[in-house]
Amino acid sequence: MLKTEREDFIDDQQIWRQLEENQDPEPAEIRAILDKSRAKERLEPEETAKLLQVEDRELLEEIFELAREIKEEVYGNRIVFFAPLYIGNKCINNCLYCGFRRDNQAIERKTLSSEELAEEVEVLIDQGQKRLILVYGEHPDYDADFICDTIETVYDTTKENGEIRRVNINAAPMEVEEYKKLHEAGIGTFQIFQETYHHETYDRLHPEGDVKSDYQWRLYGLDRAMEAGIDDLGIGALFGLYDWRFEVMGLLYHTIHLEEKFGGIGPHTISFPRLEPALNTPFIAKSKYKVSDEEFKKLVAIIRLSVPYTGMILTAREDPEIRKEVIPLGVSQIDAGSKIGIGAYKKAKDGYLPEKEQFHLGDIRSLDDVIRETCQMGCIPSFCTAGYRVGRTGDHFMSLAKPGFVHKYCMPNAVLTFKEYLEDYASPETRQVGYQAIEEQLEAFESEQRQLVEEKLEKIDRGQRDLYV
Amino acid sequence: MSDKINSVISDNINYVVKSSVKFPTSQWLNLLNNCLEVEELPGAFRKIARRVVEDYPETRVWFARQLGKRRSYIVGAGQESYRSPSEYELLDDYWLFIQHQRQLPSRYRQLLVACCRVVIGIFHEQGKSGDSNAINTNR
Repeated sequence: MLKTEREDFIDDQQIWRQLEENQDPEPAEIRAILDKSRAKERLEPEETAKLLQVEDRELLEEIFELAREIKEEVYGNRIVFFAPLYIGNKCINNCLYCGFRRDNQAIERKTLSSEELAEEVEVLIDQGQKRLILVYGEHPDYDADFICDTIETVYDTTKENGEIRRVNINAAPMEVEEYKKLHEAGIGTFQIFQETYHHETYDRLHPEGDVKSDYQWRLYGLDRAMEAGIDDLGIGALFGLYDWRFEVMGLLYHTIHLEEKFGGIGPHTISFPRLEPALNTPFIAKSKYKVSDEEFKKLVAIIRLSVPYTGMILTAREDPEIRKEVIPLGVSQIDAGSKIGIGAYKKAKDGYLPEKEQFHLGDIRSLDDVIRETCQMGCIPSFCTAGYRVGRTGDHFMSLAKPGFVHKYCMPNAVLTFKEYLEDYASPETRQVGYQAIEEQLEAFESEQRQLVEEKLEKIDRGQRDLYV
Repeated sequence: MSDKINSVISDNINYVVKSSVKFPTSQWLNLLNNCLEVEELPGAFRKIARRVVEDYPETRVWFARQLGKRRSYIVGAGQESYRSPSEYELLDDYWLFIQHQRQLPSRYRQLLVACCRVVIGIFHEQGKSGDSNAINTNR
């Protein structure tokens, strides 16, 4: 494929200039920027560049504290849970950092049949999952029609009280007409991670001639999705491929680009996975841009401050200890009980060892264990899919999230969906901790909201499901 | 499909033209005429939503389209009140949501739904439904 010949909105030199010119910022400058974040205004690149240069311990603590505060104010103390479901690992690309790259002979190539997919979904439903992200390699077998078929299979699979209510997609960039098919199938968020926003690094890691080597095709992939009507978009960068400060700036520029082009609708979520070891993938051990835990915490908090109203996803790539430290810094969604091999949920349930996977998972605890810990951290686990089913999507969602009012829906819906989880899937220990967490949350509601939630909780007690506000 | 749409249009038009002292037929026919002047369905929905909010300022009204399990926002009007919305299935996978719907007298709600169905039916018949979920970069 020919490289797309157009200018793009990532100017590497400008980003470096902004980072270099804003070294050693004055504390007063930093505090003025924090005030802007506190007002839930999106930061400008120069402002984020200044935050990225902060080394002073006291200022860093202020940044962390504000990140916690903003997340709570916008989304409340709920954490949304989801699970990844890998559909197929065939790939025509040869990305140096990826375990699924074309030339990696150590990986067994497989695509789930619709029967196998339904079995995987049943296992996930049995865990209590309600939201999935389906993941596909970049391969002609995984075209829009195939993806639509898999979405339909997921939505059609039910078990007792359980069903998957929201399917998000992580797949290769497409043409507008292909995105339209996915939109008609009723997807949630469409995710494309740019991997690295640094042009030269991107070129080096994605060999010439591969489809993925076209930086602009990928960068504008979400513009085409938006043109097709998909207004829930997820962006992300794989931290560890290039300088982490640059990638944060890239994510911010991407957000600004989408907001400016699409009437204020920026990304629904931002992901920030760190590079993890993968089978037969020596590049990873050699990368000089690995992100330390301290840097990771800093970058998460700065993303939260830069885009106060956008969802932030922390995945099970991270180990439990670091997840526990990072979640309070602004994270709104996590996965748990995750398996990333093809057909791995069913295999694990049947007692087989994990398959060879795309990368190493740091948090291999069960969903139930992570849910329990989330309650112990003072948060309410949520499986909410309400916004997506009552038309609170796209600019309607943004009109709630930007001023920081979406928590008025998030919290009641978190309690309702968590109650369903406790009734249908939780272990006795988690049930005990969970009911206590719900009681505490009910106390925190205003009386009218509490009454509304309590009425619906009673209905759940009587066996009704899928209740939301 | 066409027969079904025609029948929906005709049934709902009949409903709308039944006179009512409080909500006279002319008011609804004017709204229908205004809606049919626009090029695409989202524009018509916007006119309807704004009209309801003019009549009942405490309400918030929006339209969405069912896509699988998703109901995807199209347009709306009114101030958010963070209440559970009432949902009305219209036609052709379109849905109407109203917050504070108790503000609306029952006859008004029925006329509103009928009016929406007529508009959707006519736009559908004229092939003007358009891509009602495509993002308008200028909105």
